[in-house]
Amino acid sequence: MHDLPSRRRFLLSSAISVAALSMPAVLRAKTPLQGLTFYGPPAGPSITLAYAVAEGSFSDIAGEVAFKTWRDPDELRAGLTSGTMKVVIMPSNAAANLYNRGLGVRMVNAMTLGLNYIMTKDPAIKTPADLRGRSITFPFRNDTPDILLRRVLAAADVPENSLKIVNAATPIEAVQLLLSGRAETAVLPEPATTMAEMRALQAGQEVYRAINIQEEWGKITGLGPVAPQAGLAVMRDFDEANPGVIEAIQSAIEATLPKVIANPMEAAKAAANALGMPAPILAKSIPHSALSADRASSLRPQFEAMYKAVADVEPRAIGGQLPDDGFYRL
Amino acid sequence: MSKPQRLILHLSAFVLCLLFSAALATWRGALWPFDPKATALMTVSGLASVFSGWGPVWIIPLVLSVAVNRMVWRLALWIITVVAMIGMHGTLGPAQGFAPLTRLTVPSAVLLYAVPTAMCLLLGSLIRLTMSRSTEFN
Repeated sequence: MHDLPSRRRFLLSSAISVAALSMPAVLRAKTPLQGLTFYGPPAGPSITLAYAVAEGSFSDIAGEVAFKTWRDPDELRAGLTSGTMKVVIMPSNAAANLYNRGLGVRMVNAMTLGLNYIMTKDPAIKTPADLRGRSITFPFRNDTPDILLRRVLAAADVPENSLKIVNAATPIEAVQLLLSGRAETAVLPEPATTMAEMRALQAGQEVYRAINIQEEWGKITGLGPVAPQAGLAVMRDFDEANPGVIEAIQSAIEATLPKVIANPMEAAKAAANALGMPAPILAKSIPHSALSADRASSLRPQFEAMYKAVADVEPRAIGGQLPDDGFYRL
Repeated sequence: MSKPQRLILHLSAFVLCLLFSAALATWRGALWPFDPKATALMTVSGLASVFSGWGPVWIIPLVLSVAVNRMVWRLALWIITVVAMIGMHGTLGPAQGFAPLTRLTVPSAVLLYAVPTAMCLLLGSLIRLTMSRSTEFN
């Protein structure tokens, strides 16, 4: 076999490189994986991914693709530390925390730009200032929505101690407290928000989305109504062992998102089993879930604004500092 | 008609009420794509809220249903109770956490109270039947 002259060899290798770079990300991935399991919470941010799996959007990336839910933070942490979970939708705070503690979790994108609302049966409540003196129920105290709300209340000059807090263990319990009248307002994420509306309708009641927490938060940060609470994260070992795969996954998610938004019923039907949630509730919640596929680095100011707010209250929640450049995988 | 036959009839009517309530919940809530879990959840939740929202008030039609001995009277009682519940909803409903009648509308209120009232009266009739000594219906 002849050795090609070095100039020709250089031109040939350059041409191959250019062609490879111009190919879709999925084709740049190494050989397809045998199997790939995504993990996510049984909540709004997982709808797009569960639908993409059901639609076979990752068939070029791996032979067998599955979506499984994690039910609580302990299960998530155990899955990540044991190495079972490699590509997972998780709360952004938890990802920053684990990254800063050296676990090798990196943020790929934001699967939602925020899905928390303050619900009430009282149409007179329309702004954060109207919450003064009211009772309010939270499913997760000291979690991101609670922390963002504290900022929103401070901006509206409403002292926290002017609110009567009614504790709730889960969003479903908070819905119950709101509908039974034991709390005048509730801070709820999607799809619990939609469930509250639907249950109220069946009971001859009315509940309102009084305050969009993302919008109020955006007024404070000046960065728009964006609170990227959850996104896709990848473990470094998986990422390094499979170059190009994360780019291909992200491309597939970006291609799926418009279909989910355009046809929520079909997406909900496909995702309902995987998420273990009734399809009609998922379908109605999609328009309010601010579903996203925005790359993490494109939202870095919004991530950091949220992390700073969290760190002001509980620095350990994000691992004591803002995550550095390496955290933002795409 | 024998007592066991009447018992079966009551239970069948009760199941029909539940099915009708489920159909109403699905239609009223536009629960699509159809999912039995969602329909069951919304049906039970709606019925429970209407019963618990008025609490002891339901004892009145229940006792009246136990007291009367003809089905035709119970039918009249059903209409009267639905009208009374709508009237109460209009006056006391918002204080009990319900939407004002002006926003709910009367037709929606009829749909809201028709099935729970029927179930309440059926329960009264069932209690009367189980308390009766004879095995044959007079």
